[in-house]
Amino acid sequence: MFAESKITLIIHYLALFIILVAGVYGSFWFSGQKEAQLVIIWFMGIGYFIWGTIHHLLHNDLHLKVLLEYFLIAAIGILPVSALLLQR
Amino acid sequence: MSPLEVFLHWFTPHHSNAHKPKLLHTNSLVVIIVGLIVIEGFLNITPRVIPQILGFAASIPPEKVIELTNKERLHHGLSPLNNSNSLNQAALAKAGNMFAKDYWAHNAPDGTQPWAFIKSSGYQYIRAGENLARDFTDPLAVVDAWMNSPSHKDNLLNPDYEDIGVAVVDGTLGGVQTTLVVQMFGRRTGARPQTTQTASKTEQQSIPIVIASPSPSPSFSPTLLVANVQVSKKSPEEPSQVSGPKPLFNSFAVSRSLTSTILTILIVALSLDVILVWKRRIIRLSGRSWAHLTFLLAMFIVLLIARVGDIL
Repeated sequence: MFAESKITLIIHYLALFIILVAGVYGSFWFSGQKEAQLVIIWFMGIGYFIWGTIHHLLHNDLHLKVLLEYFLIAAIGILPVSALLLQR
Repeated sequence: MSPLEVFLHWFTPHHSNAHKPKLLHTNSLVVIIVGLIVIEGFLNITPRVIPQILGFAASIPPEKVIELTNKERLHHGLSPLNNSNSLNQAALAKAGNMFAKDYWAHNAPDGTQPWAFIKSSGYQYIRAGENLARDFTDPLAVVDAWMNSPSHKDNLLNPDYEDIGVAVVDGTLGGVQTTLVVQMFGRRTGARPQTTQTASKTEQQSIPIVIASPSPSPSFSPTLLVANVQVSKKSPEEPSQVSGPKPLFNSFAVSRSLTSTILTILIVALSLDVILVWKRRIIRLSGRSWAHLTFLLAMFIVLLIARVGDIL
């Protein structure tokens, strides 16, 4: 039981790690190409929201309040960086 | 409330905030988002309305662009390029045409190609190329961006070129104040061919070769234009720099500072929350603060990577 939950936890961490590292790497790779960077940023934000939803669903503690929290944190990450890129 | 209590209330899980930093409560996050939308909207609109206060401020001496270009060429074992007055004039004419016809492309909306400006300057070439940049704030960032792009790097490090011309011009493009950098490369007809570089590049050409493939012109129709610019008289061998009035504040820098500050404040609150929740073994119905922290740190890195400027 302990081993199973530990593996699940590692998979959860790994999934989040992959989403974020891929996003950061992609932003670096497409440096200077705002359209590509915008897509990547939104991919990171939406990916994070979906990750949070699945994570809490599997932990049986998914509530509207928690969903809203992930949505707001994702928005705080996405909006200002998108606005910054759109200034160019 | 004492300042310490205020800090504990907003940044740490505390009995006064239901054991969750007030800053991370849903209503606080909503206020932050609304504030961000209002401020970023202001920063996006203001440069169009009052560009003299908040706009784009760049300091790109054309000589420095040439110097950095030649530095890259020397670093890659190539000969430095000669500063050509004709190519400087061609670059200046191209920049002026981009502002006048309001386009951001190698080809003008009327189909005029970059090479037309080179020919008009009296430079007879067998090989020519063009690199464009806009919205950069310093020459190093411009050359770095070109070096990070394979097609622009090919131009910069092309062994067949002998001459270079650069123009840096301030003006209004698409309703937004900007700084254009036009870099022209060329090799005159009758110039001695290079024999020390890659075989595919040493072939003598009788017709012009386009190195930086011109993109199709954009579909937008040109509206207004140019540039409250004044040409400074320089000696014939100096590259061209045309400057307009500089805004008091750089909107990109203001926006980046503001976003960095907000993200930093949230990262501090989340870090304290992660540590104290773990230390005090607090159980609560909430999102994972460590996950929020990781996500915002990743976005912070993206924010640092995001740079002003675009190349073509």
